[in-house]
This record gives sequence, structure tokens and C-alpha cells, in this order.
Amino acid sequence: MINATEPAVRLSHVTKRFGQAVAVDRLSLDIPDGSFFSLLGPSGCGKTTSLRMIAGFETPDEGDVFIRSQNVTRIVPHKRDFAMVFQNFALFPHMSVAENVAFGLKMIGIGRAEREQRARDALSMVRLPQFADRYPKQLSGGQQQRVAIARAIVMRPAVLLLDEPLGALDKNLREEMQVELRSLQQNLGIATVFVTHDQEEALTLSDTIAVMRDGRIEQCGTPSDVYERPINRFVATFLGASNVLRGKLINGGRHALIEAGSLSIPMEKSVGQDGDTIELAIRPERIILAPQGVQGVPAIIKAIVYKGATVSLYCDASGEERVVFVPGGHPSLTGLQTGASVVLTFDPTHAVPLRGQ
Amino acid sequence: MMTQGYSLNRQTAAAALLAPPLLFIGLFFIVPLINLFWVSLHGASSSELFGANLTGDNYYRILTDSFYHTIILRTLWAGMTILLLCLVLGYATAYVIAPLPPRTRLILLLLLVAPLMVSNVIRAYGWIAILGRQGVVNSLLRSTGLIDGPLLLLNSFEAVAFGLMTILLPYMVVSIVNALNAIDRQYSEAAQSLKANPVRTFIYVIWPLSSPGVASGMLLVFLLTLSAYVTITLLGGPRMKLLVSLVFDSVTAFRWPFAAALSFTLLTLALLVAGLILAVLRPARVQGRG
Repeated sequence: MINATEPAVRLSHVTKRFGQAVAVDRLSLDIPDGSFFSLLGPSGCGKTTSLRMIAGFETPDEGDVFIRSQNVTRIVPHKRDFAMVFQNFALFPHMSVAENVAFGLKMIGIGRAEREQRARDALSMVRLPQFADRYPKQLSGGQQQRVAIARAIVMRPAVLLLDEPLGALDKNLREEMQVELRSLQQNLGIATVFVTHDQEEALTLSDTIAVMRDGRIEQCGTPSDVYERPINRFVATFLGASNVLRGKLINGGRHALIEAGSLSIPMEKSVGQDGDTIELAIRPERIILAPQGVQGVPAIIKAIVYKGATVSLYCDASGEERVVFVPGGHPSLTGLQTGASVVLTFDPTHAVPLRGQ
Repeated sequence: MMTQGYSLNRQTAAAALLAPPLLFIGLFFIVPLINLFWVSLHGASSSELFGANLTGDNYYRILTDSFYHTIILRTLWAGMTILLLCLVLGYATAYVIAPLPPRTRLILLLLLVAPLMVSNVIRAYGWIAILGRQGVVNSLLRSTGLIDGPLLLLNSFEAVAFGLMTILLPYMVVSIVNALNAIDRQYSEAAQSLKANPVRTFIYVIWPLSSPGVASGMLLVFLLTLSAYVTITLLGGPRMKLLVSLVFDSVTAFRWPFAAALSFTLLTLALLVAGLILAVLRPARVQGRG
């Protein structure tokens, strides 16, 4: 039995430098068994390097890597208990689909009959049983993707590593594969580390998201944690659009005054000292258009962008751009035109105090 | 409508581009080749290029005379030896050069092909200066007292194989370096992620994926071996003759039809071995068609 408290993967104070550049900076994280864990960040944030250190394709300069509590820091990749789906799938072009999927089993010495059976099962799991005898180049991008997943899960690894595997697919296919990947991962219960720069993908798929910047984790939590309660400006703006408001703390740090003191926003707890400047993030979909006269932030509509399910309003509030998402067809949109004066309000509990920069 | 016009233009353009080389090959290669074959089917004549009667005698003689069997086998054996040496040494060299930074790689490849800028004749004389009776090697060995009389290093199978190998090795290295560089690093990482150790990664993934480069390198080396003449003559001397030497000898004796028949024997060998190389390496499998 697997100890439930034992993480599938643990990085402990891991640092990796390339020449002078620090790619990963004293990174520590635990990936619980069976969970879907995303490393999310812009390119160059160290997410791919972190994944490659779990695989063993890069060796950390400092710190340790554990897979199922075994310290694998100095162990070569082919002796580590992981499987990986690569960015461009990396299916072996000279092998048939079945041979690709059975390759890993062959390498660990599974007999022909059993590996053929297991390869067939894995292909059924990704709904491609009829493609066993084809060659990768005869398949579409989405089918290649599924073969790559089958080739990885057939190994029943301790951890499945996904290096932006959906990046090469077009949008519709990508959403389809997201759903499939998630249900497959949940059925198999394999701990999965998913590297992506696509925040929507990370939000859709993950149990836990670690938002990375400059080789460090800025925030780690459930999708709703990092989306609804971003801890700093970077997380707030990287994960979707955010309006950042500036204010001053009063009342023992328990209220923030914004809009030249005209609005007072209560905080859950004291977030600093009186007189300190504070930034508050508020999601565009949390802002409501209020009738004139209601207390709020006065603004002028600069642009209305129709997106079907939502309508984005780009507003000017005393020189600051504010974005508002209104559900398509919402009554507040009736007769709304560019240049109109509006008042923006929001439920104070949706205003999230940000730390530092 | 637009696309039709476009594809027509494309076809016209393709035909226009292909026509000159095709015409050239047809006029100056295919037609003479057919003519050569025609010549080979005749007897010798003292006054004409070939005798009056159609005959298969030339081929009959090549197929039945044990002298020609010896030469054919020796030619094949020399080709195979050089091929194997070039493959092993060339692959090893390429394997080291390929992952280097582009600049270093370029410098090393330039160094490697630099000897090709010296004529084969000069290089063969160079080897004679080194391997001859009074050559560097013998002088050194005698001065150290390791041998009493000079070693006969020249005019041997080894001298020819060694001389040709040094000429042909760069072709092999360049072909394989290019093939190895075309292989995405992800393939080898994918193999490792599937528990293949470095040796098995090489056997199951790198080697098959490099097979187009290996095949083109082997074809180049083998075909150049078959057609090499200067090196064979200078380093092999009168005793180490290969098929190509016999073609030359027949020509100098004005036995044109027999020389033509020998040429076709050489061509047949070339095609057979080329077919064998392609059948074993299956370079097309990289395209995923089995």
C-alpha cells in the first residue's frame, strides 16, 4: 500500500543554474500522490527545468529530488519511476503505434504477449485501439497526442510528467483533450505534473497550481485559491485579467481607503499598518455596473468588445484603465455605448489585498 | 479557378526546371550507357571499335574464368572492408562531433575535409613516401632495430584499403553528422523516459533514425571505392588489381568490348551492393512506412 501522506514527488531546495542565469531558485514543493499538479508561468520561469529535473534530464546544482521518497537526485533518467509526454510527442517515427506503446514495456523486460496486451489496453484507454498498426506520421495531431499519453500510462509510473503537451494542438482539440486528460488521470489516479504557460488550461485541469516566476513559486494552491485570492500583482495579472486598485490602510490595517478616500473596503484581517499603501485586485467579472448616484468608482466607457458569452468593457476611471466582464445579454448592457458615464461597484469581499509587487 | 491556374503553372515550372538535367542525363549518360552495353555484346576487332557479330562471349568469360572471379571477389572484399572501416570509424567520429556547438562542429568538419583538397595522386604518393621500402615507417623501424629488412607495406590489399579509407572517411562522417543533427533530442529523452539505457537508446532509436545518413554515407563510400583508380594503382601496384584496373588494362589493349563488359559487371556489383545496403538499413522507415 502507498502511504497516503507520502508525496509522489518532492523537490527540496532545488537550484539550477545555466551559466550565470538562475533557472530554478531554491524551489521546494510536494506533489501529493494521485493529484494533478500544474507548474504555471511565463516562458523562462523555470517550470520546464523543474520538470526536467524530476525526470533527470537536468541535474540540480543544489537540493534534492525525491520520487516516492527515494532520493533520485543522482540517478539517471532510465532508472527513475516516471513517464513523460513530450511537447512534440516524440513518437518514434520508425515504429508502429503498437510498437511505440509497447517500447517501454519491452525495455523493462515484459514478455511479448503481455506487453502486446497491455499496449492494446492502453490504446483502448485513449480510444485508439484501431490504430495499432499505423505509423505516427499517418495520424493527426490529436491522435499522436493520445498515443503519446498511452505510451506513458502503459508504464504505470509513480508520476506522469507532461511538458506542455497540448501546446501543439489547435484550440478545439485542446479543450477536448483537456477533458480527456483530466478524466484519464482521475481514473488511473496517477500523480501528474503538468507544465504550461496557459492559465486557462491550468485552471481547468489542476488540483493544485504552482504559479512560477524567475525560478521561484509565487503562489501555490487550488485553482480557485490562486484565481480568487492571488497573493501579489504578478499572480493576479498572470492568471487572467485583473484590476489593481491602490489604497491606503486605516483602522489598524483593517480597512483600505480607495478612490481618494471616497470608498472604504474592509479587510478580512489586518494587512498592514495605518498609512501604508496597499494594492487590491479585483477580477473584471466581479465588477458590477451600478446606476448613477450609487457610491462607487465613476468611469467612462472607452470600448465595448463583444465576445459572445461575455462582453468586455474597457473603462477609464480617472486615468486608470479598468476592465469589466459582463455576461452577454445582461440588462445593464442595454443601450450602453462608448463614451457613456458609468459607476463601477463590487462586493468588498472580492477585493483581494496584494502583497509587495 | 485560381488554384487550377496555380497548379498548372506549378507543373509547367516543375517541368521547365527538370527538363535540362533530365535531357543532360539522357543524352550524356543513358544513351552512352545503352551504347556501351551494345558494344559489350560484341567481339574485339583489330580495325573497328568492336567486331561484327553479336556474342555473349565477354560475359561468359567473366562468369566462368576463375581469374575474374578472384578479381570480383577481391573487389567486393575491398569494398566491404573499406565500408566497414569507414562505418565504424565514421560513426564514432560523427557521434562525437554532432553534439558539439555549431561553430566547433563546423571547424572540425572543415579540418576533416581539408585533405580532400589535395589531389588523390599526391596523397597516394604521400602514402608511398610513408609506407615504401625506403619510407618513413621502414626507416624508423630499422633505426630502432625492430626489423632487419624492410617490411613490404605497399602493393598490398591493406595498403589499398587503408589509402582508400582515408580518402573516403570524410564522406561518411559528414553524412552521419548531418543525420545525427537532424534527430530531435526529445527522441532520445523519450527512450530514456521509457527505461531504455544509453546502449538500447542507441540501438532502438538513434541508429534507426540516423539510417538515412548512414545509407547515403555507405552508398557514397562504396560507389567511390568501386570507381577509385589512382589510389588502387599507386598503392596496389601490379599485384593488387581490382575490377576497375582490369577495365583500364582492357582499354589500353584496345579490347573495347571486353572493357565494356567489365564495366557492366562493375555496374551490376554497384547496384547489388547498393540494393543490399538499402535493404538492410531501410532508411525509408524514418518516414514511418515500415
